[in-house]
Amino acid sequence: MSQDLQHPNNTTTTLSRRLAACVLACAAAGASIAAPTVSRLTPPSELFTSGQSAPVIARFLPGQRFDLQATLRPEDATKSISAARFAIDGKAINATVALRDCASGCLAAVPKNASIATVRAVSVAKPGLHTFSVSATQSDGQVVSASGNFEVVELVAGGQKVKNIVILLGDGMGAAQRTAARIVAGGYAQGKSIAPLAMDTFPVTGLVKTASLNSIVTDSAPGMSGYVSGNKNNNNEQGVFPDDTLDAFDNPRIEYLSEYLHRTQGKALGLVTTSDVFDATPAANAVHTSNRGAGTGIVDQYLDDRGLTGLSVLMGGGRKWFLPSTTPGSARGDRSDYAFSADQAHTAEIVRRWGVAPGKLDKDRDLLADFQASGFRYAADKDALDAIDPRKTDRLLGLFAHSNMNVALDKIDGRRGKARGVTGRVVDDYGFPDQPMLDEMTAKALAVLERNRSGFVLMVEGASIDKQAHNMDTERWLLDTIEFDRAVKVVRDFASRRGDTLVIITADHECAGVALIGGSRLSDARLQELVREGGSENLRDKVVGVYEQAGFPKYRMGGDGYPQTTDIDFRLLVGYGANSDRFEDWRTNDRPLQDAQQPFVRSAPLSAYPAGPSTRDMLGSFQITGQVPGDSAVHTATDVPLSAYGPGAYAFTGVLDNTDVFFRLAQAALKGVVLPPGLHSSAAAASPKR
Amino acid sequence: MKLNLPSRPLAALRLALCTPLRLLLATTAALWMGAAQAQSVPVAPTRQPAELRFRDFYRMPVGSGGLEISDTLRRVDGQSVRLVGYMVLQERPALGQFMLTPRPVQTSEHADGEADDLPPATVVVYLDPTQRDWVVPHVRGLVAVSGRLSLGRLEEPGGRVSWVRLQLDSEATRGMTPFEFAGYIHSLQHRH
Repeated sequence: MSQDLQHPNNTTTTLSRRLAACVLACAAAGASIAAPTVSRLTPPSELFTSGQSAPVIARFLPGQRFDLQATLRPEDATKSISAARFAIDGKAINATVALRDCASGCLAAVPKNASIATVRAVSVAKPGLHTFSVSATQSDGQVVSASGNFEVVELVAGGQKVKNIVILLGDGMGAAQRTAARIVAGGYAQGKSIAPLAMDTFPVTGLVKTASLNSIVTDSAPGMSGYVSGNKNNNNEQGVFPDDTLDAFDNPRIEYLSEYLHRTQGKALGLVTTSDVFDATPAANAVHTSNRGAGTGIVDQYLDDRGLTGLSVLMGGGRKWFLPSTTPGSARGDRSDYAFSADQAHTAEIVRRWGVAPGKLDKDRDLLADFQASGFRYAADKDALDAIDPRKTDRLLGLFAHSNMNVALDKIDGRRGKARGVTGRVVDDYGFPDQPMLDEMTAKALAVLERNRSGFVLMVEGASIDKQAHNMDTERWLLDTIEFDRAVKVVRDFASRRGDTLVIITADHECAGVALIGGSRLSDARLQELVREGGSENLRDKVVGVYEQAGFPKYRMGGDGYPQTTDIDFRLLVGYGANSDRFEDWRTNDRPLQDAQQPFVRSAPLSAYPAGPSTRDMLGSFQITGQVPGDSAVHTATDVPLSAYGPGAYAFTGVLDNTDVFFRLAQAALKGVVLPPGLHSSAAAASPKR
Repeated sequence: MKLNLPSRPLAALRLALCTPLRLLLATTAALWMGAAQAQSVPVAPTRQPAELRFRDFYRMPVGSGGLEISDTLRRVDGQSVRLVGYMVLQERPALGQFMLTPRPVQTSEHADGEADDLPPATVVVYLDPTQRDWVVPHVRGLVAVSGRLSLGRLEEPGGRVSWVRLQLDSEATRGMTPFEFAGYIHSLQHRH
């Protein structure tokens, strides 16, 4: 009964039925009043969880597909669940209900005789609030039922239908990261920005609430899937609702924007990132899994289910997942892969109803070859990318690094021939000296995708804005934000030229609690002297210029669009509100990294070489105590800005939930652009004249 | 310098080592034991290990496919080698092992998993099997480790695939407590 207490509505809505069932079943058995329970009902709803009908948690587009699922617990170990059925608005769903027991492969807290009942790939066309229910029969005839609700969001007739959608996702990019990039890249004069960022030129900006299904602080998986599925996911999960099994690929699914628009309109999908392509942000556009770390299965699903997503461009790092396990460096393994059982309806129905590949434990698969056999042109470096003729290319795979690509600062140093190590350039140390910048990848992606007559959805991610903020490596996330903004400009120019492309820039969450606290009061030469003297009395009290002491830091930009150096006099200073313990000396972490292959120099101050935030910059001995445990800064729950450009942009003003974005993108693509409530009279009802 | 700690740390100790206290403990122990190690140098293997360099692991640049193992690396498979590199600072370190790389790298497993910045030439260094439950405290700066190298694909317990591993010389760490081990690791760091 404890589950009933957790789900009062479950109790209230089912008690009468249970009592009725008990009158019959319990009287016959002379048993106790114990009863089977429904411990989880999916899609998630407050109606099921708390008995309140609002807020509505799950929302779908008309016809958008999703799975129904319930975890059913018999009253004791001697009973079992013999049947279950689902209904929406009281009408039984005419589809196979797969029953899976928990004899193995379920969470530890779930009894082995529990059953998980699932109906795959249902959809509802009629807009409005809907109630759904599960009704299950125990082996002794007792019946238990529970209800939840969801909404089908109405799309209305609008103006121009946008052909293409571009989502520019600066991972971890909050307002402070944007401001920092503007100060460094564009400069300020007497309080005025001299050269705005490309993202500053977008006409509409809103704020986005980023919470996930199970936390105010999201990670990148639900952060992205909120934008492209319309639904909240648990942290670490993408394109699925949580369940009670251990299988990372069997969760209840939600149809992605890419899948919906490919199915209904034939749009193509492009994914471009600076991270490993299996990482959560790109994968949360196309891959359904409760384990964002299941690399082998994720990259396999990219290709095997491209018939559902329309995946046509995939670029980033992560070649390690595409190599057969017999090739040195391969990261493929069966434990990060999946294979659906054809014998168990629980998984067989995923294949049958969704029309997906069953998967296979195939660590020896040569996925690089399979992509190419499926018509993908392959680029392994910038030269090869440049050589791709988009007029002759329908599908493009670019894998430019073994894992994540190197960050902008290191790539640019590589292009400038600047050695930050005794042996040479960082990109040489990684073995990938010719990696493209994000704007170059984006331009090629647009050129290829533009050929698709039905339009496309493109997601472009600046991934290491986040990753370097975790490290509290200020200059590295800063240059990655500048790199990202250069990709923004490419997309804006494309959208400006075409007029049929809706572009949004946003973040999945903020990272590290970045704050621009002021500017250095010193020249870099003097700062270096104070670093050698060390201590907070030097590195804090003599350096940190607040208010008017900060002035306007002036960085000089190189012809390549990046700062000539980040170690200027009177530099911008950045603090972190979500930081672990760390040492800070304010300077770029670019001291020549002592190379392991060199003869050891005993007198070198090796302790100053960066190994992590808590050990980097120790030369100055200015330790900042962090509020979070561990060695990494963390994501924050702070709202993030979203800017929009192109037809439909006005729908993105205001304070939005991240899931709202999905419906507004879909509205623009499916029924045409509309103004949001409050920007039009009700009589004019969402039919803007543009 | 006997601390009378169990040879396998209790769960509570392990937890403590995973918290900010870990750094404090490690640093304290390292500084403390570092001096002790100066007088109590681990017994060196009788046979001088071969010097191995990260840059000699694979053909560089990598090219358009997978990694190509060099003859140099193949020759020392199963042999005793000495390798100088950086201990990876892991948000969630695996027990009884750490990773060594030619560059300082930090990994944020919670947020990024294997979408990491590890260079292709990354070595998993194993402690003695009796120390397989230990959390290895992070040590900054370059460290030199010696042990037997093994080459080839292996799925680590956490699922990560490694290609080059190094089993630390058991003579070097046998019988140590975790704190003593922290001191030992610190002693491997180049003096500065």
